[in-house]
Amino acid sequence: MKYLPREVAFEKLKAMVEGAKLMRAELGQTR
Amino acid sequence: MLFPTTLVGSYPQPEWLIDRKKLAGRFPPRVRAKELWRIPDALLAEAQEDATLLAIRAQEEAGLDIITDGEIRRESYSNRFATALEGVDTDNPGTALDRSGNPNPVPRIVGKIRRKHAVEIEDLKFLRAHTKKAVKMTVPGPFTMSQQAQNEYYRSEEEAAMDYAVAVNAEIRDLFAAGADIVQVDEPYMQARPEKARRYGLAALNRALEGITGTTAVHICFGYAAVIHVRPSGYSFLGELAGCNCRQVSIETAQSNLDCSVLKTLPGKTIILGVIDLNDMTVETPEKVAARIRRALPFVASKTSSSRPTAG
Repeated sequence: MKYLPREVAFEKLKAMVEGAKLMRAELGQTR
Repeated sequence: MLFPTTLVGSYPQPEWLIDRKKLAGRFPPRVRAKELWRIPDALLAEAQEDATLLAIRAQEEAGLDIITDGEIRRESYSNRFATALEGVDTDNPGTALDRSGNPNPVPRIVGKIRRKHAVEIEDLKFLRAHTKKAVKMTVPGPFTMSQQAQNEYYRSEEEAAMDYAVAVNAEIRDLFAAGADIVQVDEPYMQARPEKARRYGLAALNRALEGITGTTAVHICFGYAAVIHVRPSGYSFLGELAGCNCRQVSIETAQSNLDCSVLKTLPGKTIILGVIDLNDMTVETPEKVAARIRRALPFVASKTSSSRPTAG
């Protein structure tokens, strides 16, 4: 991520974490 | 945990530490590029540690599950390790073609490649001391390092790669002994040079992983989004990693819009799925990230794959 502005990199990491949470919830619900 | 998250490559270094414009305006350094740092030599190590702390805290604040040092101390993912080895001359560098096809100064191999001392162990100890979360370190792979060098000593590139592998193996052992939870071996040139990777790269990589019992990952990719602009939709070297002794395979899928069915060729491997597009300054929505994970799910054997970003 070194070539990204730090703010963009940070927000992208947060989005990834939230996206993973969404998928955990989705798979948890379908079990 | 389902879909643990981690950074695959580096976190952005602060502008006060390194000249980011200069760094972005050149090919990734293969020999040293001391002129990039803004801090005088005597204070550089302290400044790098402080900046590493910022990177650790940023990852924690973002909520990542597995933390790295952000590769803040490195001029590139590979040159901190590659230039620390015995047998290479970095003061009088050679030349090798970058994956973009352009000549780049590289270490000149003038003797037997040997690890003189541990290279990243202090970095790992610093990371381990400053987070309670699981920690991962990255090391450049032996095949990639053999491609980022000018060989004037060995009879073949293959021989050079095998000695690089011995050096990497020693480093990986030390990293696990010092508390690493995961060690990731970066082998981007396997994608760039698939014939050579088949001929001897995989053997070198397996030598680097020989006897290692800790959790290891291998990362391949299409190159920095900021440097390599042509992004194919498929890998030239991926299924071959089924024959690799690593437990995890890390690939980028966001920016390359990869056909995820290729993941079927890696049964038994945990997939580290790159879900962040580094070529796009727009921040993904969580839904977009979820969609990228969902796209891969039909092709992985169990639902224990990881959601992770491809990062440079």
